[in-house]
Amino acid sequence: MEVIHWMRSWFANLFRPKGMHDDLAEEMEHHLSMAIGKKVAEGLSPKEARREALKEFGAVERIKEECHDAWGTRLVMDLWRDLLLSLRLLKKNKGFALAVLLTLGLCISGNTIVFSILDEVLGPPSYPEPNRVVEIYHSMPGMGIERSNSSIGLYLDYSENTTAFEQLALVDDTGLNISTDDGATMRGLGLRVSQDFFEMIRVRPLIGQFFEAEHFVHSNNRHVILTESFWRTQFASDTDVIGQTIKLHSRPFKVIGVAPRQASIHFPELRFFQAWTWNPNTVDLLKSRRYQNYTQIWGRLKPGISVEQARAQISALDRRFYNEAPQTKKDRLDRSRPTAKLETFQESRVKSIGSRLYLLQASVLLVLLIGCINVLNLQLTRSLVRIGEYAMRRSLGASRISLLRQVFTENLILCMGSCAIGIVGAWIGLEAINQFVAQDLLPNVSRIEISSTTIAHTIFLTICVAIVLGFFSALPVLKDNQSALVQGASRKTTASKPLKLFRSILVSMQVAVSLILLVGAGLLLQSFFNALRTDTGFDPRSVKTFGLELSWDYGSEEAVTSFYDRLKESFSEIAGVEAIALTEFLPTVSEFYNWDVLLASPSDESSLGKVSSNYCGVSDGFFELLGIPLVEGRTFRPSDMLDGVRNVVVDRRFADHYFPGRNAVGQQITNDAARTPESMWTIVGVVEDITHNGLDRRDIASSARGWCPLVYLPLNSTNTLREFHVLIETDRSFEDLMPVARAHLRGLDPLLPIYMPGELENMIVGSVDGRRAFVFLLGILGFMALLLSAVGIYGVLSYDVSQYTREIGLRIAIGSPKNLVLGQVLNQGLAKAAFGSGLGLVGAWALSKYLTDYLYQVNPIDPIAYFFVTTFLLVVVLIASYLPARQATRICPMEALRVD
Amino acid sequence: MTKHIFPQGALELVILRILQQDANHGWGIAQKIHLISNDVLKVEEGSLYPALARMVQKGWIQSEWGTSENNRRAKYYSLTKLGQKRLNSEKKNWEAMAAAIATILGTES
Repeated sequence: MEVIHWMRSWFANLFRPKGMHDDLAEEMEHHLSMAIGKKVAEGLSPKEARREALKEFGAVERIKEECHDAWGTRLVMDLWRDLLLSLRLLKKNKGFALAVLLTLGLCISGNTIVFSILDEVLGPPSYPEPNRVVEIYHSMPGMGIERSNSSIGLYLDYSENTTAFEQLALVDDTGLNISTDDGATMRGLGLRVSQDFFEMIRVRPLIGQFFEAEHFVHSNNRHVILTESFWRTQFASDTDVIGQTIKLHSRPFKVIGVAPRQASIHFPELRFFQAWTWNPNTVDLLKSRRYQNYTQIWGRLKPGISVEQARAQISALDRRFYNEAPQTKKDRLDRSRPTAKLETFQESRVKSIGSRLYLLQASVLLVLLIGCINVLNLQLTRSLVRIGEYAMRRSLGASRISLLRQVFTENLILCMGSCAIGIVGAWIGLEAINQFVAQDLLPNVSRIEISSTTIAHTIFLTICVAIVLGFFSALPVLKDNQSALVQGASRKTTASKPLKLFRSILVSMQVAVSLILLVGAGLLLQSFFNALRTDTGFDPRSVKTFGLELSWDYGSEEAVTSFYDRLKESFSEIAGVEAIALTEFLPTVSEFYNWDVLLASPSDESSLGKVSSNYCGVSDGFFELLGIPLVEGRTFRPSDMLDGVRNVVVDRRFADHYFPGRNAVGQQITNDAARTPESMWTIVGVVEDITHNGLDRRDIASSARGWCPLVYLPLNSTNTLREFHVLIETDRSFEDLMPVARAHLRGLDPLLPIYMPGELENMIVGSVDGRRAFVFLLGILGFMALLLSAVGIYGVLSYDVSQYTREIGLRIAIGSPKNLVLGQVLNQGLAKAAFGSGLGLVGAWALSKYLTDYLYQVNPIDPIAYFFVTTFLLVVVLIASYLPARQATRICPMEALRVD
Repeated sequence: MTKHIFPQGALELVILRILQQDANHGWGIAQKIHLISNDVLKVEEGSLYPALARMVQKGWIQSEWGTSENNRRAKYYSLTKLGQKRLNSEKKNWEAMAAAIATILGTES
């Protein structure tokens, strides 16, 4: 009861502090007047009466303080007073306040942006207990494959014979052609999932239902669940969508439900889910084809089961499979050595892009450090001026604590202001990032937003900054400098030697940190350009491309091959089209798959090193269109595209690896372990290497940089592809060509959407975009660091110049040449920069080894990058020093000597 | 005649007792203390005010502006229900303690 009363009164007091004080004063005044009146009545003179009354009353000020204590609002009042005082002081020093707010605001917004990215990308998925959901995959160290997908066979074995998982699910994303009732045709990503998928990630349907057992009957798998985003955009959130039909690859599927956002969290572009079924009669075959890789397996661990325990169960099953396998299979397994791995999604995400983001975070923190040093320098400069103010307040009775509190309040205000600016800046920055670079930098993330966690992070960081700044700017207060008052001057107080040294060290540190950041950015930039300069081995200029996937209406191989022919024929008629070819993968842009190469005679293989090879199905005309030179033999002819022809073309790496010192043309290879004569392919030609798997690839078994051997298969009935890319060589522009191309396609198949359209040359540049965005951001940070350091040096030097106005004036007066004065100031700036650069070079050299993973054909201690960055930095420092130096030479001796 | 300083807590009890009779202002309360205690108990008059502030804060008494004998604005304090309860319980406490102390002192002499 009393407590409630107390709180109520406390709040009441808080909001009328002035009224409380006035009331108290009036009340006490009334008391004294009564007392005086009484004493006068007793016969004392008014003067004596007043003295007596005051004596009986006690010390008025002390009693007032005691009353303030009783109100309980004293602490708040004091803080409020500090706040007002600080605001008043900052208002008086607008330039200072603005400089601090902008510097810190900029640095904090950078940090908030990176926090947001980290939070979005590396934060756990939003379904329940995400840390118990793992992906199961295998690495194949024998083939240099770090991450190999799984198969239905593995899924069946694991779900029947393990106890570690609550649920296991098959998950496979595939692009499909979607057409809706209203005639819209588009390409979209779908997810084939097994029965327990939704149960495993613990989500409930938004509307409708998820798949039931009946939907997994192989003959009844024509049901589809839409993702929330697809439902909202394509169907305008219409709940009547349940029961409607959409066509996938022109087959009708019934919509039975809509899944909430969390269900598609790992695939932001996802549009629908399909039930994954297979013919029950093929189960034994599927189980024997265990290590084919075409799908992912996810599982939710039972409570109390560790990842390691689950892995042990999986490995035991893998071992059992090996022990029961026939010898030929054992031989193959001995070569690839599949090893089971389990990983939560957070782990895998951290692995794939985490390190890059941590690098960004480290950089942005360094920029903040530089910003803080600038502010600190400003504070120190100002504190010299303020020593007088502090001393004055001390001698008027302010306690040291209250002065410290004042200094900290001031810093806190500045930092909180910067924090607000920082968050607004981050919001603007993130809008820009979402607009331009997010897709490149962060695949699988649709949008980055500032979350409450991020804001909490930012505020925490700001408070840390405020404490550090407060501590350093409070140093002059701690050093009780009463003598400053005696000196009677505030402006004239010059920096003490240790303080000057401290500030010089700070500036040098700034230069050092900037140099480290710039060297990092420089190395990455160089690596980026190296990647772009890489000779692809083919000529992508004037090649336009788009992807097609034929629906299941093209049932037979003949239907597909006849479509190829009609397509080629139809497109050759377009004016300006010089050549057309089809390919399974886009060189340098797509991911290529492995082909298990076996030679005709096993004895030839034993001497060969382990290498995984890639394959690619291509039509005739492919090599000519891309200008890939022939080494020996011949390229594909139209006759190779006829049914039953088993001719292949290989690249030079392939020939060198498998047939060293021999002529590869005429040799036979296969990918069938049984090596039956029917499965043999005959090499008819060898072509030059291309950078098929990406510009800066390193995926060979030895993990050296380079590309795998590549075998080109013909696109004929032995190797039909429903999904392929069309390459068109033409001088017409892309925008000019595409309407005509679409019209011709509609003539061939009105329901066929295209995907991945573009100019090949641009797409190749785009394939390094992830790095482009990263280098771009790091570059921005580097320049921010440089700019802040330049401002720092400028600030310190111009302060020094203003301090030595008198000395410089005197020297000019006695005939010192202006150039000498100029030189001396410049020297001071350069000396600091040189010292800092030295430190920075050592630091950059020490830290550069962490960059090795991101560098392509660049030595982490590449002297050119170091040299250019250092030179550049020194030039900037020179400019920053020149301005105050010139100011020094303009000092008029008469005025300088007259200053007080 | 020696004057005695108020023991801690007693001042509040005395103020409550005085206000029980009538609402009064600070000066009036001080005069009553002198009067009732025959000037035996000495109170530094100013120290009334922090005590009054504390009691208002706790809700034992409430204040109201009024006009005093010399026609000036003065703050009148009066007892609240909470203060009345407090006075009763404090009084009992005090009497019990005084009796106990008197007994101890009595047996000793």
